[in-house]
Amino acid sequence: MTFGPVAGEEANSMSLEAIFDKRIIFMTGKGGVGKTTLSVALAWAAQERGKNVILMEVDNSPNLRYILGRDIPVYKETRVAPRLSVFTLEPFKALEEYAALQIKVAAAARLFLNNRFVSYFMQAAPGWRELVTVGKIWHTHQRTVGRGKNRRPEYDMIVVDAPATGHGLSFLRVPAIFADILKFGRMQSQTNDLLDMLRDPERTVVNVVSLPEEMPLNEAVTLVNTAKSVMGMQVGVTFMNGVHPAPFLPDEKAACDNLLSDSCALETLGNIWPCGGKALFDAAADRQARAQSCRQYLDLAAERLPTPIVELPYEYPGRVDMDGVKRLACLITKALSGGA
Amino acid sequence: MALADLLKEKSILVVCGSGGVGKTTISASLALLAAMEGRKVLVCTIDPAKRLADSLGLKELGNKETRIPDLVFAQAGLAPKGELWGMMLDSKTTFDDLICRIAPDEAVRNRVLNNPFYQNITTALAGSQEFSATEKLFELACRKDYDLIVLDTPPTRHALDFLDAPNRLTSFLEAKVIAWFLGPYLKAGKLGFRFLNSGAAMAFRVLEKVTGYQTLADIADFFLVFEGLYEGFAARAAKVRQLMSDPATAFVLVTSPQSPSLLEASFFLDRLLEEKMPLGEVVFNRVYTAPTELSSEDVQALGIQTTQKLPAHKTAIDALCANLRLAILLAEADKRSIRRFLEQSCQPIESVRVPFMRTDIHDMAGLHTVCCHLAG
Repeated sequence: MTFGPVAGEEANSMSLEAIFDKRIIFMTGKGGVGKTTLSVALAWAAQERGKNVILMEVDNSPNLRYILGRDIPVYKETRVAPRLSVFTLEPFKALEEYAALQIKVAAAARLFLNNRFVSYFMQAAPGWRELVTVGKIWHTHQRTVGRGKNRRPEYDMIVVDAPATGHGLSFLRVPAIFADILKFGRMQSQTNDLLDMLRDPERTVVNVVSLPEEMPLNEAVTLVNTAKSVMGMQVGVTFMNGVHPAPFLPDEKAACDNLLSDSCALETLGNIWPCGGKALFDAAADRQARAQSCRQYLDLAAERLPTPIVELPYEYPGRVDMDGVKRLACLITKALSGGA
Repeated sequence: MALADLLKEKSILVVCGSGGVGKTTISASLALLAAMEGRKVLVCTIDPAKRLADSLGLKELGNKETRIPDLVFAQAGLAPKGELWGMMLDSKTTFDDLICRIAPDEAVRNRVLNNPFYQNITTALAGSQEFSATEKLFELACRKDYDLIVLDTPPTRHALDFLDAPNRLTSFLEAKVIAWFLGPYLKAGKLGFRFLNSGAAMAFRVLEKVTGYQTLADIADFFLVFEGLYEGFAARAAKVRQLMSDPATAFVLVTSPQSPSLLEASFFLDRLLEEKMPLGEVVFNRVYTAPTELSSEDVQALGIQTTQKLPAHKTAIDALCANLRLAILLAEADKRSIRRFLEQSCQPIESVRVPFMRTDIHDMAGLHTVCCHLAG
């Protein structure tokens, strides 16, 4: 399935800072790459610029709770900072809300959903979850506050922490699949609204999160291509997360090389350290190899990905809490406003 | 049971874990280890890294099992006593094969295979990969061609998805519901909906209004054809389930030694216990290890001592010491969180640690290195 002309080249020349002006930002990538962490970081960066932001989490992940250091009720907008709310989507709740909007009478909607067939159908019917999820995102982006001249969107920006790719792709694909299946009916026009939202480069952008490793990079390439050419969505940047930095500064590296070529000094060191100081050099080699491997994948990423790449450093275990997120938010702001 | 015994005695290992923990690498390494010891092993994976698949000679295989050629082992200096086979799982083909197997004739088969709703179930439906993985496993296990099958489960955010998905699909296709759903449709014939069952009538009217008629016709037609197949389908699903709790099956859980991943891992273990499914082993993957027994303080003291003797090399020694101390701290942190995880578990856990390697694993030699760590 392909959809007309793609925003394509123009999308690529979009200034990175323009990402902060989008209404809806999808963060997607393979499982375990740090999507949730970077979604929170991006949302934080945006709220620091004065945007009213809501982070919508599609999968109920323990990660978000871990990062924020608090429990987040499901399907309830929860304010975690003056301009930042979080919301965990739950398809059945979204469906209930949707049905109530359609049927107008909440009691009838409940009757409908509690119908044995309907509830069974919804339990496993293909695509409904994804469709109502995107529907809920659409609905949230439509909501306004204030009256008359002061009327404005309730949230300037919605950051969507999408499910891991595979599922993540189908999640964005589903509205198109439905548009294809539904021949007519009210849902068809609603599905078209969703598609318009997803494909509007003014409003919506897909960012990809990846790691400098083979599988996540492959997945990022697939994702970028699918989002662009199959779904006709605008792709923003690829965040390369978890980049192991070179262990030594250039002058430290030079000093180490100097030490290694000084056999006399090495002998002295070897007399002080157990096993001739092997541990010192092994640990250095370990981290150098990791940094080098990252570098190779970053080069490969630059070759294979049409998007700009934002590198983010590896955060050591246990450091991804709100402070870690704020550090990442700073780096993201710097990179997106041309400081990188 | 120790890992070596699992590899010797079990006939199925199901390797689970949340996304990004290295399931595929661990699956392949477990399979290799068993093959080295003389068993005929198949590793069934969903989406292997291309470099790894290529280097094992596993290109363009689709749903077919392929033996890893001797040459690949020889190049890595290995001579396995058994055989190592690999295959990539193709979800759609597995589904189609299943329909072909349970369909009574060609007409029914084609009607299912060509139904748009069926095609959506097999491709777009979350859980279809998990379902087809267990289905394929069952098919392979029935054939008894292998001493051991290692199943690398589909990549999901949550390890638990693998256990939930197949049930979700079978309950969806449940015969009673289908009959109830189809009753009015059948009575109405194909030209219109006139329902006798008022609940269904209402549900239908709303669905019809909201979705348009054509979709419902596809769905109804799918169920209509599938009704005859459900019994075979459900019987198989029940057997698959049985296979999962068979004493010859064991689950291997792969996790990183870091908090969010461990949290998921403990949910998964609780669930296995609840479902009475046998946990074989927990593999802690990518664990930081220190290349020394020295403590961070020892390193600091030795560093000071060294710079006093070699003041000209202070920059280098300081940098090297700082780096080694970081390695020690990371290793200690991982050791602590693993210990806490094992202590908090309500069942005794066999576990093994695979260190954080310098580069990613993409060939036979790399897998063999992992094997050495798995073997302890």
